[in-house]
Amino acid sequence: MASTAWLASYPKSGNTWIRALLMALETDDDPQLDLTRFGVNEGNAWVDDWLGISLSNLDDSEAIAVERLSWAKAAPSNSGYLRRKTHHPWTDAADGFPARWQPPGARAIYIIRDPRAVAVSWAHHLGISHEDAVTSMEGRLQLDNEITRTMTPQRTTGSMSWSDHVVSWRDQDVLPQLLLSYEQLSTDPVSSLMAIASWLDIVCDRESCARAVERCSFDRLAYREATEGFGESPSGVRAFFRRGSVDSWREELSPALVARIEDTHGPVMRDFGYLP
Amino acid sequence: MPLAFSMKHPKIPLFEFLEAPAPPQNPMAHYERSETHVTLGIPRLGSIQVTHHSITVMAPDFQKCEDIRDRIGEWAQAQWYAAQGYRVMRGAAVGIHDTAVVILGDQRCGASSLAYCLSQRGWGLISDGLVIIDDAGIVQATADAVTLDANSAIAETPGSSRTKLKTARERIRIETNGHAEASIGHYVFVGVSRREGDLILNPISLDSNTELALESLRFQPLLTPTKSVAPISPGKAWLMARPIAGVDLTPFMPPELAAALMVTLTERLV
Repeated sequence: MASTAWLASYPKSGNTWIRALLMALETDDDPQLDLTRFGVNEGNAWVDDWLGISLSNLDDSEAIAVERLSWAKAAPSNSGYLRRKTHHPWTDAADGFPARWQPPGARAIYIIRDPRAVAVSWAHHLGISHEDAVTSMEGRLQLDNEITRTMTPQRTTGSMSWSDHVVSWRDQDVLPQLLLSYEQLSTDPVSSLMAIASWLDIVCDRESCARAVERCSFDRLAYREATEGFGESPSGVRAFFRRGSVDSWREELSPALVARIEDTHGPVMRDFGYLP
Repeated sequence: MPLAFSMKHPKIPLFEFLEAPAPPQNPMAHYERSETHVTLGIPRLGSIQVTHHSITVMAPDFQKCEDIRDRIGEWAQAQWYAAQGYRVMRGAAVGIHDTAVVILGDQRCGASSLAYCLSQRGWGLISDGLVIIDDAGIVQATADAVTLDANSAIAETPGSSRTKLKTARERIRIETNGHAEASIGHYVFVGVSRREGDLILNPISLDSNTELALESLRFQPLLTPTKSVAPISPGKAWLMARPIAGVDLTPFMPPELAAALMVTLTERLV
């Protein structure tokens, strides 16, 4: 039976890219632009499919206990881990246990990205202004969409800020965790993929990782999205794979918003080297 | 003590209530599986054990036995049927004359509401929640009531006898006109459409893709079935999309829409 490996991140931080890389690595082929093959989401469908339980009959604390069971007991994957994407912060659920708790053997990868770059990408993804994106990352604007609904922590009010999201995962000590930055992944994708694969007990070498990286270059994924479509695209007009750039925020984000982000998230940004 | 539940199918064993400690507080629901039994438990409430011959509800007292039965009893029944080789799917089924229409879709897609409305207008309810099909393609008659969220539009319609369930969220059972077991005539996959206007009811071919969809909707038995799982039965397949307003999925089927669906379905399926 495979253990759960959470691929956790704030939205627009490289989660999908990593899932594509892992799929390309494991299949030694172009990743299919089909999210169900990119790794498994955390949705309730698993409870329904695997256990056949109607969550409508359960309260929040009962439902989360059943969900954790379904994550832990779902079908095995190719490797020893069943990868599950999540944007949920590491917070307690209604029963007082961490919502994404999993039994021993499980582990996590948390992907962090410069919040200034996240803001630009988040605004593009949702079709909102840069200012609204920045406000939502401060936890002061509740956006209601399919992604933010999965991020709403139980037993807390309002949405969670980018800093709180990062700190919630960084400070959790329940699951062994690999912390990785989007910038590392962009700068040295082959070594980063090797580290991720090693963390997930996927046997590979530098050459196979290099081939996977090539297959998942942003240009290539963006071209395929344009020609084949992609299930996570925000709408028919905006592309999911936008620029993939590490510092395009310098051109796109106003100085005032940059200052606001640095002011709000400064302590965490400094912790991760995004600010001196 | 034996206790009858909502299922009217004569073959299923009654729920047995047994006084026993509840699973302790734990992050994860209690789960045990062996060749002979599968047990699922909710921490601090109780558990249900299913074997090929019995369904036993275990909780510290009668009240909690009722609670756990209403919460995961349907799971236990699904597993029991699956262990007998029945094809078990989530959805609802209604019948008219000797023909059954199996209504399938994600949870809260409106299958129960649609089945209820049809059962009030000349059709009869065969099953709700679980659709149980034997290897001859007969949909087993298992329910004479639908289960709905208490605040759904249809649940507010006056008249029928209703029972509040001991589920965590407010759910009710509404009795309605039943129908005997019947052969599958149609599969209706219910979805939603963001397009304004009339509902869409399009025939689709029961090809390998449809069969794949049907297969993906089947509950996987946790106990080894005593015989091979019933094959997918032939029938006409339909894709039904009901219009929704705005961007959010409407969780409930409004009565007027269900009535319109009934007319269309009757015209096209019978």
